[in-house]
Amino acid sequence: MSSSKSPFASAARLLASATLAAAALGATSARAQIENNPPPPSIGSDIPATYFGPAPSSVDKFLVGPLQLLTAGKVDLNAVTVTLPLYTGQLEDGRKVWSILTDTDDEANAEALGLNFSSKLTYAALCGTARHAVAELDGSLTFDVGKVDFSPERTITAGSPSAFPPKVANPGSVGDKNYTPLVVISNAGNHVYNAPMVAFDVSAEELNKSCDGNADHSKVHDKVVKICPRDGTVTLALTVGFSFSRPVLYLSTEANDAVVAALEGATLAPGLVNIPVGRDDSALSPVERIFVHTNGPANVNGEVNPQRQGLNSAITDGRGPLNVLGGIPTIATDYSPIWDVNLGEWTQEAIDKGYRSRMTDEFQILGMVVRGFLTGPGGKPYGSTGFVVNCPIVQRLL
Amino acid sequence: MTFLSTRVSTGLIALALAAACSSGKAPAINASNGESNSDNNGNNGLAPSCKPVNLGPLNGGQASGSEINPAPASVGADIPATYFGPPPSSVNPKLVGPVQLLKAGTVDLDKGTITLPFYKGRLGTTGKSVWFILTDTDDKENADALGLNFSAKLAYAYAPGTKATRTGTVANDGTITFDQGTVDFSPVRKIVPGATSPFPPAEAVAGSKGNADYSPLVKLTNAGGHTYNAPVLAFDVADDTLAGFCDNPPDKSLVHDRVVKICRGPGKSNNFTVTLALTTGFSFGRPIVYISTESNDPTTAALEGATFAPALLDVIVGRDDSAFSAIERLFAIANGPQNLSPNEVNPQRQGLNSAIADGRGPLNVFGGIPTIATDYSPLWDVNLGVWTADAIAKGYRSRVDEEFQILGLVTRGFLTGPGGKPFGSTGIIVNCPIVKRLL
Repeated sequence: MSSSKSPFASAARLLASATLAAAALGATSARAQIENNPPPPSIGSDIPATYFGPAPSSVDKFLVGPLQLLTAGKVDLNAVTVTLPLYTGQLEDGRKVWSILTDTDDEANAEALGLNFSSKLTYAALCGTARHAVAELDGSLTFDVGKVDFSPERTITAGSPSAFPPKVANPGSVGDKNYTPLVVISNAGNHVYNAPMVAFDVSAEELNKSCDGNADHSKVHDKVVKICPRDGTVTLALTVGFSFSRPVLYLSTEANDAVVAALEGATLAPGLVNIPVGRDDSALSPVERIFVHTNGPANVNGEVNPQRQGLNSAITDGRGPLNVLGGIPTIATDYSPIWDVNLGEWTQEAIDKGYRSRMTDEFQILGMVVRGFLTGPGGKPYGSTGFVVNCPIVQRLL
Repeated sequence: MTFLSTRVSTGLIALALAAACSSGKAPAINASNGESNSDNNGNNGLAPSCKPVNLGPLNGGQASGSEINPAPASVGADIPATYFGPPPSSVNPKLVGPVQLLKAGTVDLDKGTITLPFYKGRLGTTGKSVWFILTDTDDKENADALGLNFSAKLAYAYAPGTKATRTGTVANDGTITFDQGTVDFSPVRKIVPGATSPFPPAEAVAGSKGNADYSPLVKLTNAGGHTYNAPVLAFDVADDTLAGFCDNPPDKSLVHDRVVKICRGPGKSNNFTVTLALTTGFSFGRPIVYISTESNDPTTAALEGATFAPALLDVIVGRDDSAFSAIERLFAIANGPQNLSPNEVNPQRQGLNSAIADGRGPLNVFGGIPTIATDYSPLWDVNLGVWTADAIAKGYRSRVDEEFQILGLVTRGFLTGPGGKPFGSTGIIVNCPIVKRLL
């Protein structure tokens, strides 16, 4: 789906006037505080945390507690970043492709490499939705197609009267029509990998200037905090959200819509436009649902509202939208990094009655939809917007 | 209430005592039939705050899970539910999806009940019949074999010299002889709402009361010394009398208030089943149903439709998941959102004010349960939260469904203990065996 078809963009064009708001660049700069970070279990008990047993997740990863899922990298919860191996590759014409690996449908190699396993990725390699690559003897990947222009400057201008939809939203990086983060590696079992590009056609020497930070976002993905071919690493900013009421951290790297890509601090990836959506957990469906809210509760008089959520909030206060993910590994079987954006809008009736609050669980949301308190934008039926975002899960905080 | 510990007196009960019904009248609710002497409009001439309340959790026929049942996964999708794969919990019970945890019984979610084997034992000193269920044990293998909940923490509930756990011996015929503990089921449960808010109630009487030696916990001395949760649901009642509660409503003066039905069989004539009303709640955001059978506080026992079991005062609280702690934390909310009108259920409703006012459950939030955590205990240490006026005025109040969400609100000062006191244990324990995850 092209950005010109975006209802977000259409709605934005209809706005007669717009106030310029601070760009919602929270995706890269304002996530230093994880607002949904679980407090110590000792709150309200008679004993300090030192006397508590270990988190159940340390006994069994399927139980509650913090758990890193994308174990290929090192998570820094203070900086809210993950540092991952930086993979080198090239197009067939020799131009450099710098990537990360996050997910694959090869379960055994997912475990071996510390990637997320997603069986749904098997259904994602359709016509034009995945690149193809060959693993070379030196370990690099040679891709058949797909370029990304990282030179655009990400800009967001808040809409009016509500911040969302934004008046202006330009992504900070744009892929060509063939670019998708997914790749089928023909001499690696034809498995599908999620390999978001973080830099293109840039030399190692140039990127090494950002080994200690100050990444040049005209050359690299907006989520990059540090990139260092010398050390073989790249450090990326994480986004906070929920999955079945567990606070989680994830990467957000691509979207198939320009407005969504701008809001997410992600690359516009036209190759993902043809990913089929709306079929959730049925056969041949490559997606999992992500639940986004337009008009969740906003901050009150500058104080962080413990209920805050949604795109209006994210654009206005620069914090994250606190999206709700469906299934992730260790909680469900249906994880896919390709998320089918279901956009919810609280009805005026629900707001007036005080029913609006932060949502943290898929079925909690669907229950609100059944009762008519959440609808699609403009009161339309709730469901897929047609937009997908590529958001590999990184860590459960609980 | 004078025998309650200092802890308790500073908590929920102090609030209950502080409340007084302004009219001075006490329009009791009869737990046996849920009826009062009000007219069709609920108008009995008393002050509004003293009108009778509908003791909802015990009303047979109300679908326990109706308020918290997960919506179909197909809502908002382009395909019907038939095309969805099975719930992940069918692949691994620790994944999301419905899972029955107390497998010893049959759950009926439409009716909000579970039907369990009904065991007959005897009281050693008198030989009187003791009718009980088995729900939890610290014997892992036999918990699996019998379909009971495993709770390692129950090993810490027994302390010599205290009444927290009874002892029992298994006879050659498979019955248990208990050393002590009787329960009087004759009291009539009643709740009179408070004057300024339904909670704390102006009056609350539990429908059954254990003697000083009664605890639902029993340590079986000749079964590996393991501890079982064995709530007594009838005492000193003849088999034939109980068998009469299969086709006719049970006499709540003889049985626990949560009993919906008792039937003879299957098999031999001395085999029985008992059907119990379930309560709804949450654990780590997952909707759940559970049984509520005892409390060490009479007001809480009345609210829960449970037996007042003073022996459980000997169980140490406040130490959560530390060594030798027998409890797990339960989070109850005093003043959660309430229904705006009788005609619409507030999707955010929760709490004791709501439960007393509208007859539905309080939607308490549990800590760990099996398949979600390692720290489950059926003995729940009640942490009572009160939304502050500041939080309410700012619109921060909502339903809460997860322990760390609550602790986060406590950290920020939006939830406190009663009267603005520090949040934490009230000293009150409820015995609530988990039955099923709905998600």
